[in-house]
Parts: sequence; C-alpha cells; structure tokens
Amino acid sequence: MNAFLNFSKIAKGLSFLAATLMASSAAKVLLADPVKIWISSQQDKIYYDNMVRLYQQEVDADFQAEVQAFGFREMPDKLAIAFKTQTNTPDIVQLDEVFFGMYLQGEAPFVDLTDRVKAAGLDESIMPQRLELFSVGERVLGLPQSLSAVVIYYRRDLFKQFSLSPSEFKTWDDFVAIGEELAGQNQPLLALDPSYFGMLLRQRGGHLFSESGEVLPDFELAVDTLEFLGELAQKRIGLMPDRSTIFDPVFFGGDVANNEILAIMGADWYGLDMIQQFSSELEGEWGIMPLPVWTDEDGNPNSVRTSTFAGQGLVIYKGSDLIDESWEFMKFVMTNREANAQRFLQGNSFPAYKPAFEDIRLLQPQPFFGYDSMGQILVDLAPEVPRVMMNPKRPMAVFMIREGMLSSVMYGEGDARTALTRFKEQLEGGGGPPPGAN
Amino acid sequence: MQPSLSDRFWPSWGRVWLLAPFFVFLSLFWLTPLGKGLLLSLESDTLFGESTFVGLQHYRDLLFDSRYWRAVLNTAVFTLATVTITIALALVFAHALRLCNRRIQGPLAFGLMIPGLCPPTVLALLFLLVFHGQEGLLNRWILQPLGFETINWLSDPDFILAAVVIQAIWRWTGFMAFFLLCALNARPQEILDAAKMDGAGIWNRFVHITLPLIAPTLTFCLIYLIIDCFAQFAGSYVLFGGSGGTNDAGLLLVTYAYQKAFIGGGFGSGAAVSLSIVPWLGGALVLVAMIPRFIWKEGATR
Repeated sequence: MNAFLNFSKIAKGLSFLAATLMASSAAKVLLADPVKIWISSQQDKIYYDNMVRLYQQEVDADFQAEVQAFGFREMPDKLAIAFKTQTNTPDIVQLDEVFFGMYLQGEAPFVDLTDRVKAAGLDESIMPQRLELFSVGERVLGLPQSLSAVVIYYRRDLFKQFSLSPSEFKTWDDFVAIGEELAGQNQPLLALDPSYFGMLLRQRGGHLFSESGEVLPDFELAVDTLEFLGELAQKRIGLMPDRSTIFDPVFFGGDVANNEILAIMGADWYGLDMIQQFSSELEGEWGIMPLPVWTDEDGNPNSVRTSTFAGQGLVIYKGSDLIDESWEFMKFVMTNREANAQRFLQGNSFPAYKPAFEDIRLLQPQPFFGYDSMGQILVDLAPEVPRVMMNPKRPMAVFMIREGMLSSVMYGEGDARTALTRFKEQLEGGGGPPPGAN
Repeated sequence: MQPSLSDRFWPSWGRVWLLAPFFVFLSLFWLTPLGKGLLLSLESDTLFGESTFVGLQHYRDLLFDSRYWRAVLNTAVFTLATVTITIALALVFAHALRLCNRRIQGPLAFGLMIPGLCPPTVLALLFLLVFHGQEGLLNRWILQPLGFETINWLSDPDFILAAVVIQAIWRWTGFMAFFLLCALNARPQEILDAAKMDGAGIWNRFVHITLPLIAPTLTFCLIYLIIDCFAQFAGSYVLFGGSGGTNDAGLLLVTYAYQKAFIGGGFGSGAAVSLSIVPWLGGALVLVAMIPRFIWKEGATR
C-alpha cells in the first residue's frame, strides 16, 4: 500500500513537472522573444528604456525589448567575445564609432542596411558625413546617433575676469596670441587632450586613413598639427590634465574646479554629457563658440569652423533572428521627433537627423551654457562637419594617439615627425585586411 | 619487496580514482583553454565568420614588432625591479617583525598583508590618488616637502614604469614578509646559536645559515611574484586605461595581448602574444629554481 502511495505521489509530481514544462514552452511560443539591445552607458539605458515604452505606445504595443547597459569600455570587449564565440549575442548594439572599426576585421558582423536606409529615405535625411562613418564602401552598416560637431566650451566667468570675448578667437593665430598673453600671467587657456590631434587634423581637411587604407595620407599636415599642439603645451597655452585626458571625472574635479583652464574643445556629446554631469556646479558659467579657423600663408581662412570626434551609432547583429523588428525600432529612434528631442534634452547628444534640426526644443537657449543656443550653433556648423574614413585599424590608431603620441612629444621623447613616423610604421605593420575584404 | 615493473607503470585503481578529479579539472579548466588558445593563435584575426589557418604567421609577425619587444623589455625590467625590491624589503620587514613583541606581531603582520588581500583594481584606483600629478600623495607629502619638482607619474615616460613597480611593491611586500617571517621562525635556533658561538657575524650567519634555511620559502615567494608580474594586468589597466602609457613606457606583455585582441580586434595575434609569454616565464622560473640549488651547492662545496 505504502509503495503504491509513493508511486502515486511520484506520478503526480512527474505530471506536474511535465505540465509546467509544457506551459512554459507554450508561453515561449506565444510570447515574442525580446529584442536584445546593448547600450554602452547607464544614462543611455534610461533613454532607451523610455524609447521602448514610446515605441510600444506609438507603433507596436506587443514590442518587447531587453535593454542592457555596460560600461563604455566594457561593452566593446563583451561584444567582441560574443561575436567570436557567437554566444549571447545582442540584436541591436549602440556602438561608438571609435570602436566600430574593430569589428571590420574580415566579414563585418553587422546587417547591411543600405536598402532599408534608402527605402526609409534616411540616406537623404541623415547628415551624409555621419552616415558614411558607419559605412564600409557603399554598404551602410549602422545609423549614427549624433552629429558630434566639435566646438569650444569656454568659461564665461573666467573670460570676463581676463577681459576676453569669444569674438576675438577668429583664427588659431588669434588663439595662440591671446594664449601667449595669458601664459605670461601664468594662466593656461586650453585644456589639452590627445584627441585634439585627430580633431584638428580633420578640421584642416586631413585624415588618419585614406579611402584606400593608407595611414596618415596627409603626413605633412599631420606633422604640422602635432607640432602645433606640442607648441601649445610648451608655451603653456595649453595644459595637459593629470591623467592626460579630458574624459575623466578627475579632470573636472581638479583642473576645471580649480579654474586652471579657460576652455575645452569637445564634441556636442562632450558638453551635453560630461560637462553638464561633472561640472554641474558651474551652471551658467559655460559658453559655446565655434573652433577658430586655420589660415593660409596670406592669412586667409582655409578650414571649416568645426571638426568631429567619436559619437555613438546603432547597428544590428547579422546573426539576429529579429532583424526586421530591430530595424523598425532603430528607424523609429532615429526618426521620431520625440526620440530625437529627448536624446538632446536628456544630455546624450545632438542628432544627425536633419529634420530634427527644426525642432524648437533643440534650438532653445540653454541656461547651463549661459543661454547660448547649443542647438543653433550646431545646426549652423552641421554642413561643415568633416568626413571620417572608417578603417579596421582606426580603434588602434585612436588608442595610440590618445595614450602616447602627444604626451611623447610633450615630454621630449621625440619630435612630432618622429612620433608620427613611428605611429605610421606601427599601424602599417598590422591590423588586418581593409574593411569589407570578405 | 620491490614493486614489479607493471606496478610501477600501472598504479592501483584506488590511486587513479583519488587523482582523477584533479586531472579532470586540469584538463577542463587548464589544458582545454590552453589548447584552444594555441589553436586561436594559429588562426587569422577574424572576429566574425570563418577563420583561416595561418600557421605561425602571428608569431613571425611578433619577431618584427617593435611594440612587442618594448613590452618584453618593460616586463623584464618590471619583474626584476619588483621582485628584487619586494623580497629585500620583505626580508627587512620580516626581521623587524621578529624583533617586535609577540603580542603585536600578529596584528602588525596582518596589517602588512592587507594590500595583498585587496583586489588589484581597488588598489589601482587608490593609486590614482597616490600618483596624481599635482595633488597626489607622493607629490604632496614626499616630493614637495623635500623640495623636488612634482612628477606626473602617470604621463611622464621616465616615471611610468616606476609607478607600476611602486604599486606592485606596495601590494606584495607585506604578504611576502609574512611568508618569510614564518620561514625565519622555523629556523632551528641551535644552529644559529652554534654559529654565533663559533664567532660568525650577522652577515655571515645571514648568508651562510639563514639564506639556505629559508631558501624553499624564498623560492616560493620568487615564483609567486614572478608569475604575478608576468600576469600583471588589472593594475596597469586602471592606471593607463589598457595602454602602455606615454610612448609605451609602461606597456607590459599582457596589456599588449589585450590591445591586440580587444583594441585591434585580432584574437589570433592576441593569443600569440599571450602564448609567447610562456617561454619567457618558463625561463625566468627555471632560473629561479636553480638559485637555491646553486646556494646549497656552494654551501656544500665550502
């Protein structure tokens, strides 16, 4: 009898287990798999969580998404592992253009969006320089999220203290002349950062890579640019932050908070995100102005008033089972009026989507920047944003510039020509095939 | 009774079962990844899609890669400096601890061990404050009061490697002092007393008696430190963001492997850099293993 009861209990248990398994399988079939979105910051996760809700309200109530945030430097590592092992891969990835090139060694792991972009008219409505950034040859592999136009963020209070006006900084020669005067008073003008090399080179029409993949195709221009930055440092016009970077909270807590510098050069996202976040106590004390222009031997301007550096974009993993769903969501985020406005208002970046330029919310004066209209300045500069040539070696190039080149010139480890020759040789020595070789 | 030939080659099943878990774990978590790493180093730097077999190409490339040789040199200097200074300081601390009152010996030894118990990332974050170019502890509390100019430890190529060495020394000195204290305490007192009565001075007693007696512990400390130095990553990653600092002045082999794989997108060449560490590390360990034999042999000859 006991044996029979035990058997009955076991049978009941097994039936319950089987029923549970069947129910969960049925639920899996009925419920759509969520679109997995990998984001490279916690702040952006909040934005994308909001966008998922907005998409559900306005487009597809059944849309499900799982937004996962990683650290900015952590995400590319995790993504590389996921692609290499093809395990736990996301559907949509928010990737910085600096890291994008890394995944172009051999076959690109991203969906070719060219036809979809054309069908949606995005090839016309997104700034072409930015769309090109996430393209390989004629193939569009991602949608740029930001304009990433570079401006100068200056301290209004300190400019006033030294009787300076933004209108005095028309050319880089003006900038150096004023900087020398300030250096005489032991006051550096500009915070230096190795990323300025690429920014200034692009502003002058130069590139890190040519379309055919040559490293530093405008070598003499590059030497001149690096020498210029070295001079800024040596003449004490520029101040190199402690950890040689302006992308560090320590820089804001030290050099900025102690009024050691009067200005910083950075893209739109730098002002919206980092300056607002890490120097919130200086609300109203910041102003924005375009970059001074470069001049030829006769003193005539021969460059644009802006440059570009980094910026996020969205890509879809090639092995995703939810490519159509991912694309529709991506398209929505890039084109929806509210989505574009919120990206700017929540301190993420200024959109590269041209119709958004007309949104009054993006053009309003901002109290944080002393009622300068960042939006209006960026809209004016947008047509001048230079192109960036994508290359699989680009992440390593940016990394090497950031971590060694400018500092080595500053610390007398070699002149600009030697440093750039070494840089060119090291990059040409490795880095894999040109983009899209497969 | 001598074991038969078959007994020697075919151990009993009992021994096999006892050793089996070790070999299973060794195969699963050590040999398999090592084998996979070796295969990866023979494949093309393809992140996605089919890789192609490239043989020893990545290893050949390393021979002509100036950054790789810079990393080898830096790792060698870093290891030599860290190991030498750490062991010397640890010996001093261990002797100092022995002289302390027994009641405070324990808490002091534990206090010295704390840096070694800290996760290296946390320690490196603390050292960002120590090495700060203006306000850092080293500059403000040591260099400036002594009238020296401040040093930008994390950017000036003349001091970058020194910063990494200082961090490693700070981390391991206390830990090694604890091991050496145990070894010093285990010395037979009668031998030391006999040597003293025979008129041997402090230096002679240290070189000819203490050193051979603590040689096994010293060897363990050396091996431990050398392996840690070759595997150094977290500390320099936090200090230099995955780079080797200005002009690659602090580029170490593991950091270079990381750069190859995760910045350059080349898992094949990254694996090649990683595996190229094996002969360097092996050579260093063989050298260390020979030191005590040399000391003992010397002692026996004399």
